[in-house]
Amino acid sequence: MIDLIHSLPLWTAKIGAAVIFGGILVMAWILPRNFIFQGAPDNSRWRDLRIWATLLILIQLGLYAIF
Amino acid sequence: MFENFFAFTETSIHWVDVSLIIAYMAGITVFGYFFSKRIKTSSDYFLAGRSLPWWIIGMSIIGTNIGSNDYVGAAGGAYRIGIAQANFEWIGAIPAMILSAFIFIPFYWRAGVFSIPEYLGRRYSDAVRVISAVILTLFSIIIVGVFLWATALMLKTYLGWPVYFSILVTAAVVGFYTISGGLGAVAITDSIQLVIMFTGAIAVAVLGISEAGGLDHFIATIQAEHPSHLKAFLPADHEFFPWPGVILGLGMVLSPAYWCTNQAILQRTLGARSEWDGRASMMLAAIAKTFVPFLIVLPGLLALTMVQGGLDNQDQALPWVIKNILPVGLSGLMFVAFIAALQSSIDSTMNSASVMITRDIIGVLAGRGVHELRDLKLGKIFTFMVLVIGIFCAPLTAKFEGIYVFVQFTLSLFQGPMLALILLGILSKKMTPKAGLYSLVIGVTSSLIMGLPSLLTSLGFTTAAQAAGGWNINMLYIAFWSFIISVASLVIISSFTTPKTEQELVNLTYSKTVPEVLSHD
Repeated sequence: MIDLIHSLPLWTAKIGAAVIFGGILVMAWILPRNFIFQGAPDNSRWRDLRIWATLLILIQLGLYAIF
Repeated sequence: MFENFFAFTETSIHWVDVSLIIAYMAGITVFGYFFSKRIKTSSDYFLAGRSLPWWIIGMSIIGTNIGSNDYVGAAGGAYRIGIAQANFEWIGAIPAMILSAFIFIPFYWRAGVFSIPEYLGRRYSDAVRVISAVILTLFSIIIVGVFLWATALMLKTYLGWPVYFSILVTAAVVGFYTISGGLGAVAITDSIQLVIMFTGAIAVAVLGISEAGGLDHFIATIQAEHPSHLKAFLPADHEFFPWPGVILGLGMVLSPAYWCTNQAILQRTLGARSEWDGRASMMLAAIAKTFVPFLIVLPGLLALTMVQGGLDNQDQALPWVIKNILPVGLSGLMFVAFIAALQSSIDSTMNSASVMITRDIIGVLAGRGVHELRDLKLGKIFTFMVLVIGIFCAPLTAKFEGIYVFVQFTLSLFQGPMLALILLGILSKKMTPKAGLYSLVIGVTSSLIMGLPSLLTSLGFTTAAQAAGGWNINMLYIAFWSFIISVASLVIISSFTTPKTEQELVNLTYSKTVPEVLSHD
């Protein structure tokens, strides 16, 4: 199996990274909204951690696109 | 060899830099003293009374995460392999930190536990709790010794202090505020230390790029002379960082294991004032983490473009930049940042080890339950003992050339199995106590078998390594396969053993928590 992975081209690594980030993003958005806001003093938009996660992942995808 | 450890040597350090270092040491000690007056119970001591806001915890997490190996090692790594070094901060951290914030931290916080082994104990059994606590505590003591040694070497190089004198000064300063102030003092001093670290690192970045002829010239030089240094991933046959290992081992196992199960990192999130604060703290840390490579990897690239004829040792990259680029005052500040990075890692490790000894090992084996005042007293005693044992372990570091390799290997031995137990334990209520115990043992044993030859080699026992098999499996792959073996073992053994009852799993598994949360809204 390791030999098979080693035979893949280098750009596969970027695809792999994108898949991991994409999977995490999907996981964040399928969690119930009320679960995300548990314990928050209010439901302000800035407290929605799914938005934080989205921005963070977009930055990461940008970095891997550049490098 | 030890006579050199007691001798003061002369250095050319400016008095301004010395004043900065002494002022920092004194300031952090005084702060710890004042914070200690707030400690009344073991909950205050171990979890800061569950009062910490998200931004303090977030800063403290990054302060603890950045150690000397990040500063010196990452700069050296970047000098050798380039921006690929940043994978430890990006793919090797960010997905796992988000996962930790959204999935793991809410369960730990909601369960009201003091430690990760305590969560494992409630989810599986006391045996799993004690074994995992023993493994993590032993590792913590080694880490305290390594960090004390690294700090002492820096003080010797920079100030000319003898090694043992430096170890004792560092242990006295860190020990004072950690033993007296507990997690609260640790979290707040970590935050102060993070500000110092970032200030020093930004100074290096700004002055370094300016010295290198500006940003455009700097990038153009690397592109022309070292084009591979601007590639995030390295070929699959690369000796140290093959991309499949980075994606599978680092990204999918080692990193989630570190960010979702590491006691020293997660303990402060257990002290959050609310579940949301716990989650938000990890997200803030993830945002800061994104920018860490620009601060700790950049010096390596600066040295690459500016040092004529190259460096003898890659780990000289950052010291070279500090010595040749920073002016008086800023070089002292950068040195304080070094010390701060180490101290923030030592204090967190000591505090978390103390929790595990007090509650997860002694507490369970003695069968005495929770007693606030007794646990507070024991916690302080065990924090002191971890420090003392760490002091005695510190010189052993000198005997092993590849100490950081040794530390990374040790981590890879148990992080895969720990992650498997916690991940499946949260996601499925079918995982049984017996499966948890056997899978932990099978997972750690399998990674030990895979890693033993490489581990012995890194410690200098080449002959023993050959006798043990002689194969050389990259630690990233060891973590991946031990995780897979543990997952398989958990699933198979759970299929024919008895799980815990629904009532016992409330607030411990996803299906017994999330629907309940939603039904109350």
